[in-house]
Amino acid sequence: MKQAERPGLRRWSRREYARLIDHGFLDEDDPIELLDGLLLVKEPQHSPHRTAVLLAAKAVERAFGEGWFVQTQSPIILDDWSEPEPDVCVVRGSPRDYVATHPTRPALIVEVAQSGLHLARGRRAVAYARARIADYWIVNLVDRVLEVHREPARPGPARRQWGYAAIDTLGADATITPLAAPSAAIRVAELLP
Amino acid sequence: MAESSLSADRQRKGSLYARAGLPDYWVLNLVDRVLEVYREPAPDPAAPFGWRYARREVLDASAQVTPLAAPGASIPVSHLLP
Repeated sequence: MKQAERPGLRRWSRREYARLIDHGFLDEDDPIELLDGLLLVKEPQHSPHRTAVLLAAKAVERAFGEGWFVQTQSPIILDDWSEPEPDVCVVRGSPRDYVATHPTRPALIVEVAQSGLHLARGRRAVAYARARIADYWIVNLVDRVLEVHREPARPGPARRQWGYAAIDTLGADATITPLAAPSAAIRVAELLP
Repeated sequence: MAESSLSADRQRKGSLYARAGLPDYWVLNLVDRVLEVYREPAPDPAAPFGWRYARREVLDASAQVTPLAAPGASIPVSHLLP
């Protein structure tokens, strides 16, 4: 799927984005995130979405255990153009390790998607793959499946865009093992509201 | 949790939460590194939404806080501060 860039699209850098917040044009609590230079409005928090975020946070917290922490809907830094706020991500260490700057390389990102499914598979996947996020899951609330994206790559000389080379779709009765927590197993049913 | 949104949180949200009858409202004030604990919602025509919290306690890093709904628990404020 190739997406033509609309002409005249102005991309914001992370530094400019920070200034928008510092000067009060955007509030910390605004439902906005920076993805590949674009200011994206976050998917509305319907109850199933919120429930799924909490379920995922709980499941991965248990799976990863000590030495990791889970943050929900909080910023991470991918590069100079992306400061997204994934629904759930798992980061090495403890929260105080990141007082000075946001985490940059989570071991796992989970997005919950309903109306945002297209975005989660599209722009978001591209940005996460380009940042070499090794394990990216989409809790697909429309079809009630988990989409597991792995092996970030830029396949072939013809393609400029990054993407995931291995995409698996798991039903409710399947189990999933995070790449960075190889001894854990999470039932997909645990992640579905 | 509040940094830039501190005064808005205190006044508008506090009044809104008090009106909704939320019994225990905490503001983790990162500017002064204290926890502000608001309790006992009460009507107040002067407040933005007609309600406010009658009790406000400011706890510093050396204090402990017990949630109203978890009376057997005790959280050191220092655990909440970055």
